[in-house]
Amino acid sequence: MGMPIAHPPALRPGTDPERPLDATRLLSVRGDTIAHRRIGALPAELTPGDLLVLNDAATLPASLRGELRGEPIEVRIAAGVGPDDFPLDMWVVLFGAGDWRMDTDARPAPPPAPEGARLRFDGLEATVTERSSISPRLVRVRWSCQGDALASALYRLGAVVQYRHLHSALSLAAVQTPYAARPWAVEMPSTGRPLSWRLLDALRNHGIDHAFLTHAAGLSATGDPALDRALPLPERYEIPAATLTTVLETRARGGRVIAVGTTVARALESAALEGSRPGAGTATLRIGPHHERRLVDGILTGIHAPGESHFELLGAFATRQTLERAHAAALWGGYLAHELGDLMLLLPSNDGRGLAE
Amino acid sequence: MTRPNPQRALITGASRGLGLALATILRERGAQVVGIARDERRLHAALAPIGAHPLAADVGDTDADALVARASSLAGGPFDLFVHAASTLGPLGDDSEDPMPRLADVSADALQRTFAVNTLGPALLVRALHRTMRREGGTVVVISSDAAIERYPGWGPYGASKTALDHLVGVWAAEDAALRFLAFDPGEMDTAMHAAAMPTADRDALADPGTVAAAILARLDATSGTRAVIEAA
Ligand SMILES: NC(=O)c1ccc[n+]([C@@H]2O[C@H](COP(=O)([O-])OP(=O)(O)OC[C@H]3O[C@@H](n4cnc5c(N)ncnc54)[C@H](OP(=O)(O)O)[C@@H]3O)[C@@H](O)[C@H]2O)c1
Repeated sequence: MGMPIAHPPALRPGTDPERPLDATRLLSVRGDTIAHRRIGALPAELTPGDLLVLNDAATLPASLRGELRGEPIEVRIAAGVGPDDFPLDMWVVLFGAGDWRMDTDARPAPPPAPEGARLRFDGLEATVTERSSISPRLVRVRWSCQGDALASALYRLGAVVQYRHLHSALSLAAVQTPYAARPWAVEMPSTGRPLSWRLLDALRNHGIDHAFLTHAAGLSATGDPALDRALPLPERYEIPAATLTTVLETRARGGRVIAVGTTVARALESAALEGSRPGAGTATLRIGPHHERRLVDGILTGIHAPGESHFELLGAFATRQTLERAHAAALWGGYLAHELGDLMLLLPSNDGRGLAE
Repeated sequence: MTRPNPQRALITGASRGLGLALATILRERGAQVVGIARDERRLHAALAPIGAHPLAADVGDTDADALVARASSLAGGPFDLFVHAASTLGPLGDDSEDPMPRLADVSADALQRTFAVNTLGPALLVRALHRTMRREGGTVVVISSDAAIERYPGWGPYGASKTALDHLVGVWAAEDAALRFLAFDPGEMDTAMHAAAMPTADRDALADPGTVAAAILARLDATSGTRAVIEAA
């Protein structure tokens, strides 16, 4: 038997893609009130007139195995795809031999990939055209084809980006939200994964509507410290005119706009900086405690630990103290972290628009 | 309730016959159309003049989730109309006047292939599509046949695969009230498929697929229940 423990262990990751969506737990943080719920209680945790904004990007098979100078490598698309239909040029991150089951530290580095280096795949090639100053593993490549041909090659050769904490590889279907449409994301916008249509219907029946945007979520981690510090890279997004109108109308009526996932917060707040116009844009904004929110009032997100870049982002929605209390509640409450884990609802205060006003 | 014209439509069997006729009308009405068929050349040639997006695939042998993701990427968003018009008669016999095969002669491969294209393929496509179609209050249409109801000699595999598809459409409708599910029997049309099945038929007695396509679109909102017969011939 183990020794009694003085500290709770670190957050455990969710590992079961088959876990029923209803079993997802919801840590509700409203101002400084913290409550333990299940995802089905979301309608009761919000107020009629609130609006959920969802990222409808589908997840790509963004990881390809190939070779460079005769050595095996893995290539992951870095920053999602976006409105250009499978373009010729993309930023990718290189990984050495081995696979996702290995510790990234133990994994051999990829061979050097100077400009002009050829990455070879089964029936597809890419040429390195630029190396990032952030890390030699982040390179811009030019594929040997684009559009239809590139899309078919990626779906034929590619696998979903995998996570080391899982026991078995995730399928393409396991990493789609219930409303996933355009394949822009290289990692799943995972907050929306438990939001079944049944739940969205229930929310709507409570007067809590939803609207969609598309945000090309990029890689969340690479194992390269310099690169990880630079994440998220600039990501493409597109906000339909109808969604932006609904967002503005919701706020004008005194309702709250709740971002489902950090990608939605990033897209909306980036658009706000550009004059709140609909259409396509590139998110370069890094949201943190000092960010002054313009369009987003609250956020539904995964369970994150201090130090993660997502945790930093949440500083725009709650004080450090509240976030640490929420983290402790998640830890002691046995909440599951990461893509297949539980959720946290973060609202600045108990009712109305909250602290900002 | 009358719905606005579809904004984005996905159509299987879009390179000729009824599928192409539907694609043509929907394009005229301003919808984004993605059309699926196997023969890439013919598909491109058919869809280029009307400005629809070709997506070559075999609906009887494809990863439906990947195909749907690819299709919505081409259309610029989720679909609000899906029409499954592609279909196979299954392998034909060598009687030049009556090539439709008798059940006693049908191989396991032939049966499997017929169900793969006419039933399993669309079932998986609808499963992959319905989640994104829901938000637009979308419509799912499959093209059935009177062979799904009547027991015509020679039409066993084809007819049974259509009966199964009709049944799935009915259950989908019962399970998901947010979407509309409809099966249309288009009647006899003057198409390549008809010529292959009944080479000696009097073509003057057959309906033009364009007329049938217009009738189907006109009845999307007017149809009650989940199955309807178009009588254009
Ligand atoms: N014509 C009639 O009298 C009649 C009567 C009752 C019902 N129907 C039904 O009406 C629908 C339309 O038929 P039609 O007469 O217009 O046929 P058609 O002119 O022969 O066209 C069939 C279309 O389906 C495509 N297709 C066939 N197999 C496919 C596959 N495995 N994957 C993807 N696409 C495939 C074909 O292109 P590729 O060959 O290049 O793939 C073509 O574009 C069918 O469901 C048929 O069963 C027709």
